[in-house]
Amino acid sequence: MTQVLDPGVQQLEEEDETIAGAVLYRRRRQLRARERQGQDANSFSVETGLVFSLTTTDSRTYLLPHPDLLVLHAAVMRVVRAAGASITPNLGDWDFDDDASDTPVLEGVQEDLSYALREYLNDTVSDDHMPR
Amino acid sequence: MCVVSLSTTPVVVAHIVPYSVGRDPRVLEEAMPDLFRFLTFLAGPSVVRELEEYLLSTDARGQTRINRLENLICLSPDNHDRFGHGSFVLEPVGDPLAGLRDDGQLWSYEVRFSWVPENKPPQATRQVLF
Repeated sequence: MTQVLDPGVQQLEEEDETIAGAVLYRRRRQLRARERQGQDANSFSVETGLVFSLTTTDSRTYLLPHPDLLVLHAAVMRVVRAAGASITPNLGDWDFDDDASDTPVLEGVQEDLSYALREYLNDTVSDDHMPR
Repeated sequence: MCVVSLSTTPVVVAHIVPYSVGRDPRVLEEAMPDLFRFLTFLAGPSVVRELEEYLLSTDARGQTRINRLENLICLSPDNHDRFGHGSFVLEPVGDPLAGLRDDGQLWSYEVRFSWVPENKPPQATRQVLF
């Protein structure tokens, strides 16, 4: 959850074999003469923390990706890829019945659930761990 | 040109919100997996409503706006695959609206590249699940 709320936290990506071997290279210049000489001289590896600009020459015809959609994509992907670490090993206690009545009803919910959930968790934690 | 590697060929146009969401179900409640409930819990109902209005509302020809340019980004095929799996994410840095020109058009903003490690469940859990 820390990584979701604060993406600036450095993660241990070298522990993930699916991306540990994936190294992207970004070219410094687009010079055809240099391209023939290979990538080594004018490229560098893309690593976590690299900041670059998305720029368009015509902001009416060639629109940039919406920043909010990139934020949403990043949040969803961080949650989904972090979810594996949170699965409880006691799956035998779970009820896997496909009972539709168990699904929470979302109709009519006007409140920001993530905010409500955060408030609820804060209250729960503070109640449980308050010094008595 | 791929925005990450700057390679020029080949380049594909990748959807940020998947094309399948806007092509087939057209309403988020019918998308599988259940994006509607997931996003409602994660981001809140108001975000889901705005997202549906922004990308899934239909135009005069009855097509959704899932292909609007704001939902597209140029990537190499390899990076398209990684982006789709969430191996890396691009997050805007600071206030993207600072790049607004006087005419209200967004012409530039900075993003931060991050690898996102995939956390696999413990071995004991995997044996139960799969």
